[in-house]
Amino acid sequence: MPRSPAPARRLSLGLVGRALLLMALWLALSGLYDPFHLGLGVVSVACVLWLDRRLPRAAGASRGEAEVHVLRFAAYCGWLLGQIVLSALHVAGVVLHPRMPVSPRVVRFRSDQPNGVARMLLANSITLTPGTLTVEVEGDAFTVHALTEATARGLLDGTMQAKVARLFCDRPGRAVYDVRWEE
Amino acid sequence: MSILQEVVAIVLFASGVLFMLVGSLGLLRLPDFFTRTHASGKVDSVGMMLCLGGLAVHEGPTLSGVKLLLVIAFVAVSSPVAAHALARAAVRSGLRPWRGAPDEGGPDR
Repeated sequence: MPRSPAPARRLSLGLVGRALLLMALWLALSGLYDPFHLGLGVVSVACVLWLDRRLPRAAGASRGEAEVHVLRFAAYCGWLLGQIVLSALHVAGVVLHPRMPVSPRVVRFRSDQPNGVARMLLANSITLTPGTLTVEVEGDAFTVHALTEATARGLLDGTMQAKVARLFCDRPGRAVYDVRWEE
Repeated sequence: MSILQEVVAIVLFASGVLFMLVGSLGLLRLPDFFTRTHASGKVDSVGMMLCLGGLAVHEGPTLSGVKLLLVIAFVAVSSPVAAHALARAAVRSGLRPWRGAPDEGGPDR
């Protein structure tokens, strides 16, 4: 797959960068700054880095694949936060509605995503957006449970799928295809 | 502690409690497992995030405040995963989603 050369915007922390990040997390969580506890922190960070080196191989993915555009990811997080609030308001509105207008539908679609991290992100984002819940992910096929048909159709316009794919590559594949409604 | 900080904290916490109440109500009112997962997975988690956000504002920029923000981030990531895991387990064990008549406006339980 042709990749655009944009190394400056991609999140690619070296070993030192990741060690510093983990140490900052340790300091925030620990709150004890004497030599003994700092030493424990250093040992823990070393253990986590060692485990982390083994993880990509275990998951069967190369490290370079999962690099993300930092700015786009930050923008996406902001957008997703808004979606989470909308989602909660939507479901709350349905629950509090006197007649409770739910007519659940299950829809299956495929989406070309650049890697496993993108698929995971998309599946979680679907769950967080109004009225939809990811039930199953098999390869590039997503099965989604929607509170109403309208909420499912909102998902099938492919906006979110394209957003997620563009976090990882500049020329994403098809956002949504092979849509099948389940009876 | 400023009055503004306290007011924001109270508003966040109160709306969080309200969301959790609605989430629990949804758990009772909605017709089947999947729709109930919508209620617990979304409304409850936003309620929890609002409560924790209120506590973080109350705490201010201290170590505990930072920890609360980390907990919020954890809830934001873990709750959709939990909802998905529940729904997938239900489908795999053969549970079919409820398909009620929309014009009846509710399940007959």
